[in-house]
Amino acid sequence: MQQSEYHWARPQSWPLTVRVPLIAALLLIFVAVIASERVLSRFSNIQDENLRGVASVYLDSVSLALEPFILRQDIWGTFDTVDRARNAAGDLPVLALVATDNNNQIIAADDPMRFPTGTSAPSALIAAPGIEDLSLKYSETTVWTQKEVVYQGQLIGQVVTEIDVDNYLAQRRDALWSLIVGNTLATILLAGAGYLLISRMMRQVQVLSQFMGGHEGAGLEEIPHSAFPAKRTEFASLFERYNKLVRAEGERRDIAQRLSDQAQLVSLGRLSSTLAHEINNPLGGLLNAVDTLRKFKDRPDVVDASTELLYRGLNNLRDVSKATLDFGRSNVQDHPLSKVDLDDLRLLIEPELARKNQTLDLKIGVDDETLRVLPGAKVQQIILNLLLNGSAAAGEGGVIGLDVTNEEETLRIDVSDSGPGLSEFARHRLTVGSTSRNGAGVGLRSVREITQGLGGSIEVADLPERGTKITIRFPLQPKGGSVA
Amino acid sequence: MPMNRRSFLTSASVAAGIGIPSIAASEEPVRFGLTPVFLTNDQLLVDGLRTYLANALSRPVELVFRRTYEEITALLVAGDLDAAWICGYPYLRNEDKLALLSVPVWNQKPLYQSYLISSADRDASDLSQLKGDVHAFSDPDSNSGYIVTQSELVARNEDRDSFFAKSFFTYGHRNVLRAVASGLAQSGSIDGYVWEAVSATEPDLAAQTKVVWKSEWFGFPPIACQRSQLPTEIVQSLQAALINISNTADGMAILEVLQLDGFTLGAENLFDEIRRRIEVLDAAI
Repeated sequence: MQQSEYHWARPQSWPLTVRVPLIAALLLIFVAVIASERVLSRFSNIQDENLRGVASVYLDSVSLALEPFILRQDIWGTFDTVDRARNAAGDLPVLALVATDNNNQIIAADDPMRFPTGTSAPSALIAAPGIEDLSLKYSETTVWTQKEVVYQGQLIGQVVTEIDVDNYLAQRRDALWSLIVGNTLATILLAGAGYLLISRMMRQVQVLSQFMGGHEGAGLEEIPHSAFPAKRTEFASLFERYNKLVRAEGERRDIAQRLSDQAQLVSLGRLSSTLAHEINNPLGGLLNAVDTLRKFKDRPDVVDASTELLYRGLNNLRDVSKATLDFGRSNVQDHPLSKVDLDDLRLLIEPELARKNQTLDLKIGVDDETLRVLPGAKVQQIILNLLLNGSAAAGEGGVIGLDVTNEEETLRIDVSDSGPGLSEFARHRLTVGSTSRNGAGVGLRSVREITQGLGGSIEVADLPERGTKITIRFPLQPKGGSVA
Repeated sequence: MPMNRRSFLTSASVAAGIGIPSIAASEEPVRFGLTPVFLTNDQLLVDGLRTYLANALSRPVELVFRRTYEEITALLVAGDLDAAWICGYPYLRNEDKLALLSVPVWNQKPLYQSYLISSADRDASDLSQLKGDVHAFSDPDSNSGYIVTQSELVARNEDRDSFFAKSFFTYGHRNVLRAVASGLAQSGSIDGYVWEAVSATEPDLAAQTKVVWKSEWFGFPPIACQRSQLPTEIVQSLQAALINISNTADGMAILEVLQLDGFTLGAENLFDEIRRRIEVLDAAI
C-alpha cells in the first residue's frame, strides 16, 4: 500500500487530505498574524495619542504654573509647585516631575533626593523627547517627556516628567493575548472545518488513487459502484471514465495475449512443416537400412553398419521431437535462458536450412551465468522467429548468422541474413508497430512485443553488400518482472 | 459650630423683620495682619481666630495674609492694618512707628529660639558642619529664619555669601521644615517654636529632620500696631481680647491648636537679644 511511502520529514509525501487543510490553516495563521499586527499597531497608535494628549494637557498647566518661579529661579516656589502638581496629576501616573533652567540645571524636583537642586540634569532627562515625539516601547515601563518653558519668546527652562506606562503596556499585553487566543481558536476551528471538508472531497481521490496504484502487475481493477459517490458529481463521471479505461486496458491485454498465442502457433506451424520434412528425410534412409537388415541377416558387418545407421537416425529424430516439445511446453512455464536453449535453436532450424541448402553461422559468446537473468522460452521464441524469417528471406543457398555477445550491461543478439532486405512495411512492424489485425507478419509483431516486454530494444540495419542485420539488446539487470 | 446656610438665612430675615440694623454689617471691619510666624496652613485655626476676635470685638474682623513679612509690615506701617502678628526683627526696624500690643506666651515664657535643622539621618551638631549646603531660609525679615543664622556666620567670621553653596527663601517656617524633610535643602533656619509645634501635630514630617543647633532665647514674635493707634478703642479692645483669650472656651481651643499658653503685655527690653543680633549683622555690612 502507498501509506508506507509517507514520511513525516518529507511534507511533499504527506497525503493531500493532510496537506491541503494544513496549507489552509497556514494561510489562516498568516492572515491572522497580519491582521493582529495591524490591530496592535493601530491600538499602539491610539495609546500613544492618548498618552500624548494627557501628558500634553498636564505639562501645559504645570509649565504655566512654574513659569514665574523658573523665571525668578525660585527654588521653593518651584518645589512647592511641582510637589503639588505631582499630587494633582489625576489619571496620569506621574513618577517624577523636574524643573530645570535653560542650562539643564535642576531648579527643583518633586523628589529632591533623586534630583538634587543645583545639579545637572541626568542625561535621561536632557534626552527626553518632546510630547509630540512620545511613544511607548514594550521594553520600557516608564517614559520621560519634556516641555519647554518659554517666557516672552525666550527659553527659560524645561519641565521634565517621568510617567509610569506599565498600565498602557499591560493593556497592550492583554490585547496581544486576546488576539493570540482568539486567532488561535478561530484558526484551529477553521482549519478543522477545512480538514473535514477537504478530506471529504479528497476521499474520492483516495479511492481512485487506491484503485490505480494498488494493483501493480496484476492489472487494473474497476471501481465497484458501491464505492461511487452518492451524487452525480465530477468524481462519479471520473470513476466512470476510469472504469472504461480499465475495461479497454483489459481488452488490450486479452488481444495481446491472443496475438502472442497466435504467434506461437504460427511459428509452431512453420516448424511443423520443417519437422515433417526432417522426419521424412531420414525415413527413406532408415527404411533402406531395415531392408538391408532383412536381406543380410547372416552378415554381421552389414547388420552392424545398418544398426548404427538406424540408431543415429532415430536419435536425431528423438532430438528434433524433444526440442519441438520443449519449445511448445516452455510457453506455459518459463525457465532461465541457457546455452542449451540456444543450441536447441540450431536443431530446430537445421531441417529448414538443409531443405534450402542454407548455412548457419552461429557464435555464442556468453556463458550461462550471464544468460540466466533472461527468460529462456521468450528469448528462444524471438530468435527462432528471426531465424525463420532470415531463412525465408535468404532463399536457396543463402547464409544466416546468429551472434550472441555480452556488451557491458546488455545482451546483444545479432541475426543476419543474405536476403534482399526487409520491406518498409516489415521494418515498421518490427520497430514501431502496426494497427493491422490480420495474421500477416504476426511473427515480427510478437518479436517486438516480447522484446519491449523484457525492456529490450530493436535495431534494423542493412548490411553493406547484401542482406539485413537485426540487433536486439536486452538489459542484463531487468527492472521489472523477473524469471519465475 | 459652623453656621449652615438655612440658619444664617433665618436669623437674617428675623433681624430684618424686627427692623434692628445689623451693627456687624455696617461697621468697618478690623483688619488684622498675619505672617507665617505661626501655622497659617491650618484653615480651621484661622477661622477660629477670626470668629473669636469678631465676637470679642463685636465687629467684623478681616484677617489679611501676604506672602512675605515685608508686605505685612509695609501694610501695618502704612496704616492699612489695625494690628499684625509680625516678627521681632521688623518690629525693631520700625520701632519708631510701631508699638507692642501683646506677646504670645509659649511654655510659660514670651520667648523662643532659632533652630538650625538638617535631615534626621545626618551626622551634624553645629552650624560649621553645614558648610556647602543648600540652605533653606524662611524670610529675609525673619529673625529666627534668617537674621540669627546670618549674624551667627558673621560672629564666626564666615563669609555669608559663600558659606552655603546655595540658599533660598521659603516664606514660611513650616516650608523650611518641608524643604529639609524632602531633601530640597540640606539644612534650614527655622523658628524653634514652629519646629516644636509641628513635631507635636505632624510628628512624621518633623521626624525627618533634626535640630543641629539652637540659638539663645529671643522675644517671641509680637503683635504690633501703629504707635499712633495704640490708644484707639479698636486697638485697646483688640489688646484686651488677646490678653483675655485664655478666659474663654473658644480662646482656649485656639491656644491649644497654637500650642501657646496665652498672650501677655511685653516688656520693652524683650527684644534686646534680637537687637544685639541686628547690631552684629549691621556692623558687617
